[in-house]
Order: sequence, then C-alpha cells, then structure tokens
Amino acid sequence: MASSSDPPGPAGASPRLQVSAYTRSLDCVHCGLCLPVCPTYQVLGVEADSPRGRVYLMRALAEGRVSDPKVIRPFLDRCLDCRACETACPSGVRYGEILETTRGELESKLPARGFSAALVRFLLTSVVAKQRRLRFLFSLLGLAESSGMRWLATRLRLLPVAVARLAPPVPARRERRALPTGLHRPPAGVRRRGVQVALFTGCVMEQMFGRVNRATLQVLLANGFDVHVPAAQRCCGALLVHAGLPEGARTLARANTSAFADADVVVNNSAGCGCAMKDYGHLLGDEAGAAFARKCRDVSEFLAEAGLTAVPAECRARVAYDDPCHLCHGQGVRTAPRSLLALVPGLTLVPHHRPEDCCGSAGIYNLLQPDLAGEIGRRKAESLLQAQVEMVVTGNPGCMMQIGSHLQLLGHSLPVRHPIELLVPPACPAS
Amino acid sequence: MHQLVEKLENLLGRQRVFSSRDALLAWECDGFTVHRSLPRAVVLPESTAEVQAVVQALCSAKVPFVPRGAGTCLSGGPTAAGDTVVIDLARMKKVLHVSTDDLYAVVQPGVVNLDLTTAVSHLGLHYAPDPSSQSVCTIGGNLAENSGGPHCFKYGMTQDHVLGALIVLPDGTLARLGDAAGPRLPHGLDLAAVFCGSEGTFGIATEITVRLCRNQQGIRTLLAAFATMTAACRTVSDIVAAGLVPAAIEILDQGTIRAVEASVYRAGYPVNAAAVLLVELDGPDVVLAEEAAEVRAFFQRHGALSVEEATDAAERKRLWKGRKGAFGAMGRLNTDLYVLDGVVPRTRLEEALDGIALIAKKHGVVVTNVFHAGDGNLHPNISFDGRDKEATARVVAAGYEILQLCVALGGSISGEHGIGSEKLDHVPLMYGAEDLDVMARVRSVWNPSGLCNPGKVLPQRGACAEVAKWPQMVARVLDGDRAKA
Amino acid sequence: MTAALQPRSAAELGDALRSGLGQIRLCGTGSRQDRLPVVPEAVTVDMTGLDAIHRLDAPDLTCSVDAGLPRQALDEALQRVALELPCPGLGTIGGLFASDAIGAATVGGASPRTLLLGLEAVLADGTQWKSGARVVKSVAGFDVHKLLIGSQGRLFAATRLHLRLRPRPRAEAWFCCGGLDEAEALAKFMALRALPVPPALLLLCRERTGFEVAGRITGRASFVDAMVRTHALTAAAPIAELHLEPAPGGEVLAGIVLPSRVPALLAAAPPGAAFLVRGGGRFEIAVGTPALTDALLATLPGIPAHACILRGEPARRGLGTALDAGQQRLAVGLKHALDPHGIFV
Repeated sequence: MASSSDPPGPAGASPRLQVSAYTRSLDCVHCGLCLPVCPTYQVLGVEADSPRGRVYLMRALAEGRVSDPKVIRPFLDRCLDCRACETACPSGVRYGEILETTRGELESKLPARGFSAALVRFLLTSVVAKQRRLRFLFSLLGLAESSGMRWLATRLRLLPVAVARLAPPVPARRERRALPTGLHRPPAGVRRRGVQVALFTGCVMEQMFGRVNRATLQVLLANGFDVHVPAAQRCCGALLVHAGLPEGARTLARANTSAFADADVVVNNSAGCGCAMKDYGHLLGDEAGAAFARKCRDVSEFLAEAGLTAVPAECRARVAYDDPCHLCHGQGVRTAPRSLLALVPGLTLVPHHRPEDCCGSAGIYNLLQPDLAGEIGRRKAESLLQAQVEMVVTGNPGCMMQIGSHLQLLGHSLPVRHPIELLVPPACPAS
Repeated sequence: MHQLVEKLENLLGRQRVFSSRDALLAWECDGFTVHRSLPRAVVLPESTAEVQAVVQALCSAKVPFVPRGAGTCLSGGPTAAGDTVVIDLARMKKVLHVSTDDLYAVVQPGVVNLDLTTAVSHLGLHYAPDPSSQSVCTIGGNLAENSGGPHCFKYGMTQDHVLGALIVLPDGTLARLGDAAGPRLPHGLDLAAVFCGSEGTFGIATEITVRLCRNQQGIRTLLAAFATMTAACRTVSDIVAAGLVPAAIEILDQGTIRAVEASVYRAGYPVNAAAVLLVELDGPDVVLAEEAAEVRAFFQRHGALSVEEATDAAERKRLWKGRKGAFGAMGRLNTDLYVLDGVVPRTRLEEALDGIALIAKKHGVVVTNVFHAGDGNLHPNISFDGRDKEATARVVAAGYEILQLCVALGGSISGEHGIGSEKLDHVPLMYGAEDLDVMARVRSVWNPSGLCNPGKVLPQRGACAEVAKWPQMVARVLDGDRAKA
Repeated sequence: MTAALQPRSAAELGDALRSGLGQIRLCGTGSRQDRLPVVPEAVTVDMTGLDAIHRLDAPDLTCSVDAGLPRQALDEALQRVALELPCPGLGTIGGLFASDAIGAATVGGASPRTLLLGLEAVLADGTQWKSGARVVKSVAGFDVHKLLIGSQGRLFAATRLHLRLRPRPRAEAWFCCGGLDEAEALAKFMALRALPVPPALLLLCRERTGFEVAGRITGRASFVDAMVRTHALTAAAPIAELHLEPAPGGEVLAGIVLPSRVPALLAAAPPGAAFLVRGGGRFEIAVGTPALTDALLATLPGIPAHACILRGEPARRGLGTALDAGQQRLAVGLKHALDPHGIFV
C-alpha cells in the first residue's frame, strides 16, 4: 500500500494548527450530521468538500499527517464559511474557528500564489480595509458603469463572464453617499426612549445599499432612539478573516473597539459584519474585544427585543424571508426578523424550502468560486421561485446581491429587500 | 497505479476521481473511527453505466473496491482496506420513480433516507426505516447494512422494505433482483433479501426499489421518566405483554439524558431521571386514544416520575430530538466515541444492563446506554480519548465483553450496525467454522474474485484461533495508525 | 419415488446424508409435492419426524421450532400464549417457508423474510450449520437463512427455524363479500388495500359464480368493528390456505403483479378462468389448457407481471416468464456452491 505508508512530509513544511483549534477539531466524532446541510457537499457530493471531511483534513494537518498542504487547500477554500454545519453539529464543533485559524496559518505559511490570489490579497488588505480607497474604487466602478465601460469590458471579455453576470450594477453616486456621522435625534413628534444606540454602517452596505443604511437610521429614529454614527468606524474585517488574513482584521477590529468605546449598544444591519464583530473576543483574544462583541446587535435582534413603536408602512405582498447564514447559523437569530416582518401591515410571510441554506454569496466567495457559487445560487433562487413570492427579504448585502442576480438569471426580477426597509413608517421624514 | 487513475479519469473526468494521498485522508474512516485506512483512490460515478465501467476497469486491473454512501456506518463497512478504491455513490441521488398506486419508489443508492420521505410526504407517504442518521445516511448504505432504527419494532428493518434492486455484481455484470411487484417468483429465491445486509461485499446496488408506507391517521408520542432503569424496562415488558405494538419503544439512560441535554439536541428530558422511556403509537384515531390510555396506565403502575405527551408535530419532534441526536451529543463527553450495538432477547434487558455496568466498572470506562427497548437492541456508548492508547485498549476490551454478554444471553453481536471491520473478531462468538464456511460459499457466488469490499464481515480463515488474542487485534489497528502518523 | 427415510434429529439427518443416499427429495406433509418436478430415482426424506417446539419465548415474541412441525401444532401452542405467526399456509413450518405458501407481498401481513429470523440446517454432505439468530434483530453475518425461502428444499435441509411472532390481535373479523361483478369486486379490492391500515389478509377471487373479495381484519375491537361497518363487510369463516385446483388437463399459473395492474391481468386471463389475487399482488390463475397458458405467459411481460406454472404436467412445472439473466446465474451458482453434487432435487 504505497500511498498510506508514505512518510508524511517533514514537519516544518506542514504548518501545524494552533493548539486551541486542534483541540476543537477533536470534538468531531465523525457522525456526519453536518453533511446534508453543507452547500458544497450538496452540490459536489465529495467527502473532502464536507464539514466532516474538512475538519478531518484540518485535524490531519495539525497532526502532521498531511504531506502537501497545497493539496487540501482547495477543499478548505471551497468552504463558504456559512456555519450551517455548526447548527447541525450535535457535538458542538466550532467549525468556523477551526477553519479561520487554519486558513490564517496556511495563508501566512503558504500564501496562495498567482495573480488572482495576489489581487484578492491586495484588494482586501489595501482597499477594503481602507475606507477611503474603497469609496474611491466604487466611484471608479460607478463611473465605468455610467460610461458603458462595463458593457464594453464584458463584450471584450476583459471581465470574467461570471463576474459580469453576477455583479449587480454599482448604484448611482447619490445612492452611495455615506450617512452623516455624529449624533442624530428622533424627529419632532416622536416619543423619545432616552436610549442611544451606535450604528455600524459597514463598507459594502454603504456602497451598494446606501438605502438600507438610511432606512436603518430612519427606523431607529422613528422608533424613538437616539442614533450615533461614529466617524472613526472602519470595515469589520470579516472578509480578511475569511481569506486567512487575521492580522489586517485585528487592526480593523481594534479601530472599531475604540470607535465604539462609548456606546452601550452597537447596531448593525449586515449579518456578515455582525457575526464577525460578535467574534472580536476570539479574534483579538482580549477583554476589549469580548466587551465590544457583547454590545453588538443585529438591527432585527435589537428592534424585536425593544419593540416597535412606529407602525411600518403597508406592504401588500407575498414575501419570503431567507436567513443569511451569518445571522441564523452565526448569530442564532431566526425569529426576530420574522416577528418584525409579521408586524408589517398587509405582508404575508410565505415559507420556502430550506431557508437556512447558504445562497452562495459568502463574502467574496461568488467571485473566487464562481461555478460553485453559481450552482448554489441557482438552487436558492429556484426554491424561492417555487414558493411563488413577490418579494424576497434577507438581511445581508452579499445575499441581497447574490439572490437578486440569480433570480434575474432565471428570468425573474423580484425585488430583494433588507427587512429594515419594510419597517420604515409611512411618510417618514427624511433624516 | 498511475495508469489506473488515468483510466478512471477517462471514464469519469478528472473532477470525479481523487487520487492524491492527502485528499484521500478525508475518506480514511466512517463513523467507526478506530479503524482508519487510506484508500487507493476515490471515484464518484453518477449512473449505473459508470459504476459498471468503473467496476470492470478495476476488475481487469485486479484492484479491490468498496462502495460508500454517506460514510455514517458505525462498523467500518465502507472503510477501504489496503489497496482499495472507494466507489463513492454520493452523487447518485435521484429519486427515479414514485408510485402512489402501488406504494413504491425507485431510487439511486445515494438518495438520503430522509430526503426520500421528504420527497413523498406531500403524497401522504413515507419511507419507514429511520436510522438515527436518517438525515445523512443513504438508501444504498441502508440496503448494504440492513439498517434498522427506532421504528423497527413495528415496521421492521430495511430488508422488510426493499422490494428489488439492480446490482452491479463484482465482475461488472448486472443482476436485477426482484422488482416493484415483489422480490421473487413462486419458484425463485429471495436474493434481494440475501443481498440486503451483505455490507457491500456482494456488489453495488445502483437502483433500489423500496416500499413506501402510508402515513398513519394519527401519532401519539409519550415520554415517561423513571427513577430506576428496572421500572422503565418492566413498563416495556408490560406494554408488549399486553399485545400492544407501538411504532417505537426507546430508552435513554441517565448518562445519555445528561449528554443530550447539554447539547444542541436538548429536548427538555428530565436530567435527574435514571431512565426516560419514549413510546410512540401510530394508527387510526379510534385506536390511539385507547392505546395511549393503556400505556399511561403502565407508566403509572411502574411509578413514572413524569409523563409527557406530544400533542402536535413540533412537540413530537422535540421529544424525539434528543433520541435522534444522542450519538452526536455523546461526542461532547470526550474526544472519541465508541458506539456499540448488541442485541439480547428483550426479556433479558435488565440483566444485560446490570452486566454492562459491571463490565464498565471492571475496565474503568464510562458507558451510557440508549436502546431500542422493544427489540432488545442495545447501544452502549463509550466515550474516550483515542489519543490515549491504554484507555482505548480498555474501551475495546469492555466492548468485546459486552458483546460476549449479549451472545451469552441468547442475543446477537449486532442488531443494525453490521460486522464491517469492527466485529470481525466477535463473529466467532456467534458462528462456528461450518457456519462461516457456508457464508463464505455464498459470498463466493456473488463475489468470486473477492475484490468487492475485501476483509469485511467474515474473519479470515484460521482467524478463529486468534480469538484468544483479542483485543490486541484492534490495538494493532491503532498501532498501525500511530505508526503512519 | 423410493422408500422414505424419516430422521428424528438433525444429527440423524446429517448421518444419513453422509452415508450417501443419492438424490433426495425433502418432504413435509406432502401437501405441496405436486408442484415439484417428479424425480423417480430420488429418496424421499420425510421431515415430519422433526416436530418439536424447541423454544417458545412468548414475552420476547420469538420461537424456535423444528422444520417438520405441522403448522396447526404451532398455531395451537401459540394460541395458548395469545400469539400468532402472522401468515396463512398449512403443511409443515419448513415447507411453509421453502415452498412458498406465504404470499410474497401480502398487504398488512408479514412477508416470509420478516418472519424467518434464523435457522439450523444440514448441507447435502451432512454438514450441520446455522445462520441468523433467535432474536428479532440481528445483522451478524450474511443472511444465508433467507435462501430457504422459495428454495423448495433444493439448497439444503432446514432442520430448525427461529421465527418472529406477533401478539394475537385483540379482535379479528373474517369477511367475504360474494356475488360481485368485476367492477364492484375490483373497486372493493382497491379501496381496502389503499387504507392506511389495510386488512391483514386480502383476496380477490373469480369463480364460476362470480367475484368475491375476502380477507381478515385485525386489531382492537373498536377498529375492527369500525372497519366492518364502514366497508359493509360480510362475516365469513376463517381461511387457512387458499390455492386454486387445476381442471383436468389444465394448469395453475402463479405469479406476481403490481396491484394497480390487476385489472389488466384480469383482462388478459382467459375468460372465466378461476382467478385469485392477494392484496400484495401475488396471484394464481387456473388455465384450461397448456396452449392457453403459453398464450397468457406471452402477454404477461406487457402488463407487467411475472408468473410460472405452479401445478400441471410435471415436465411443465416451473416454466414461466423469463427470469433476469443475472439473477438466474446467481441462483445456479448458489445451487452449485451449496449442493455441488445436486443431491437435493
């Protein structure tokens, strides 16, 4: 048996996993209950592309049994980090932690090579992480959009077809303007609650869905909260953590803990950001991080707990609510958005098949793994269409883009909204 | 080797053949993690024709192969021994046909057990066998292992629900055993029944015809907590003696209850009870009320601490949640878990449990029990740290003695997990050389070359003499594993 | 046939086989011998000397009985402990399983696979062996014992069977609705078999007098009463075993059909031929002449249905629709592996 008796590679060549993550991997008893909920296993049917298989590979890596980590890296890269497996796991395996730690170590010891990997690294560390550069990039993209360069680029095949099909148009400049920073007070006539919340605005949300940030501010104000938008806040760092670049993420996390140091509650409207920020305790490994994490709330979580005082505008529609992975699996928030939507006059919530399955967006996954993300997205769009709804609601910018694009690819341009957009009271004064 | 991989890649495409050593690690074991062995390659066919082509290629190269479903087997059945190629059927997951008139479905082997029920539930039907891993395990794997589940007491095992199968025999030819109308002709043999439970050594089923059951009018799920295990067992005896045939009768002991309650499968079981007894009744509404009252009376007679009854689907799901997740939840107690599977005549359950407790004490291991009480099918679970070799040896020794006890009480060394590689050493506890010789003769008809899943179910000739050396055998497996690491 | 040998134990049978008796025909009460080919030179081994109930574990719902035990004797013993073997059929217990008196796929009832938990047997060379277990659940080893089912005693001689039992239902009602026309009978048959809890036994017969639908409802009294009332079932005497008799010069064809295709099968059967089908699709047709049988056999695959000649001229017994080639090959292989010298005929 030539293969199994091969000696594993020299220990030095194979990065060993941090002890904490390794110990976590031992929680896995190989029962396989995670397989049916894993989007990549559902599509590929490959054990190594399942959570159980990946944990096993990461454990083998930690034990020094992997001779060439480059071989197992594609399996880890294909993971969406959707955490559906954590929900399914009866043994409490903290899959996300193990994965992120392993990705971090692989990235630091065996950085992925090639132009696209370098480009991703550059974009993440030097653009996304720097808000002004990101804004600049989006204005370039917006300019390209309006000038027809995207059309040209697609025609000339300068832009990968998958990207061209999936990436939604960059909104107009007016849409992309940032929320005014500082303190906002509820408009006259609204009963104030005497509670101040800090609002985390996110980078993608701000650039692609400025309307969601404005709606969030409107709804919080209309419901009597004072809202502070700290100017010093930065990107949450989630994309860097997922890409195995935790150092960059830590810098951002530290900036955010200090930007929000005075806040009692940090409200965000992006499931991915919320999940990452609730994990700052683990990322930073200190009390400041943990304290910040405890203050974070998804806006739906916060409002469901506090209760709405302003009745939302009527919306007569059959609506499907699709759970963002980082909200349901990452933060355990499932009922809050649904209970809020139930308060919207005229709205009918329609159940659809497997609402907790990932849509394939997963940060920048749909750009890195276009084929797989495409298939996962197609399945999601099909299950939504089967439910015959008129509108899809989900609480994460990536999911909103991915679901919208895939509905469109199947020939249906259903509106895709953030739950907060449906909570805006009628004739809400502009903030 | 390289040539073979190339040939397989030509047949299936590069995406569906894995041959690099590090990637193959993922297929190193199933749910029985004590036995680990690297396959030579893994292939993922998508049709009968592809399975046939792969089998023919492997046959002509004289390379052994093993079919695999979701890898949830608990006895090492699909673990590749030696130089074996894994034929992973996870991509063959189409439900090919459903008949509502004649109540059957034709499925590919990779269809997940629960997915079949989901696919037919809108027709008021379900697929009855429900192993605890039903959300993951495949119908093909169920057929190979003759899987059971909590509802066997009334509905029987997989074998009672398989009408026919299209088999790729180990020489690459096809055989159709039985069909939707029935497993055989008046003068024919019931070969589908013999294939069922052959643990992947008789061939690879690529189309399986299974019986579907109509959903019953009503379901009542009752859960009672008892202060002693004896009370729980005696309640079961009374229920059966009264001629009641509940759909399921399950018992969880205190250790299991506590593990479940500490996991995401928390079901609200009373953590201070020595045992909880789950009884599920199904049938026409007119009967259910009467039967439930009878069961409650038995609960009372044996001094149940508390009784709960599920009144709707959500409640029912909650009461079952802990039972279904028990195996995974046990994973929280330590790094590794050895799930045993033995059967005793139901009337000897108390004796068996007392004996198991003594064995556990003797070897200093922690055993918790969850079992199908109606069938006398025990699942002692031993949690341990597999990195501790000495502890592992004690676990293995305790497991061996527990199964020895089951056989001594008139039972069996496996009720539903199979022999696989795990219980090769235990087989002689039940069967003599003549019995094994007959089994080997039958296998040689299906699998004359011996290439199909070698080293499983039947101990090697002459191995009987080695029984005395047990449990060193499994310790050797561990040694081998460590040596590789 | 030559003189009979009647062993009193498995060991005695083993000794006899080792002594080299030549070809052997295993025989119970002989009730099903007219379905087997005639082999004049074979020695008949009468199994009825092995007639003990070895173990009846009522609380565990299992028993172990000798293969030559008459069904009636078992039924009497089971009745005393409120249990039953939930299948129809007479003769010896060994013959019941080996010669297929039990419907393959009864509705509501159990199939022979389900009931046969294990056995002890003797090979043609006299080797005694066992397979399966006595408990209701065991997946240890290969299920070689299931090879007994339908083997006609031609693979090995089973000496002891381990059986699964069921509690005797609290109430039962046998029924027979006679004098129906074809449409009425089919409608009743289909309606009853489609119930969530179908009758434990269900039969549709065509006789000279017309159609009848008969069967057995089991369960709690409240349920049985409700069934009888709701479906207007007429009470009747219990049926122990029901098989068709061939007319002089005629044959009985037995087979399986999908229950939903029973109307098509009925249409294909010669007009007026006695016809019997169970709820699970196992059927018998008494055909007037071999020529008519051949014509019917030719149409069966289109229905689809499988059948073979159960009773008729010895030379034609067992002829029928084509078996799958792979299955045939396995059957031949098994015969060769277990009885290489063709002792059991």
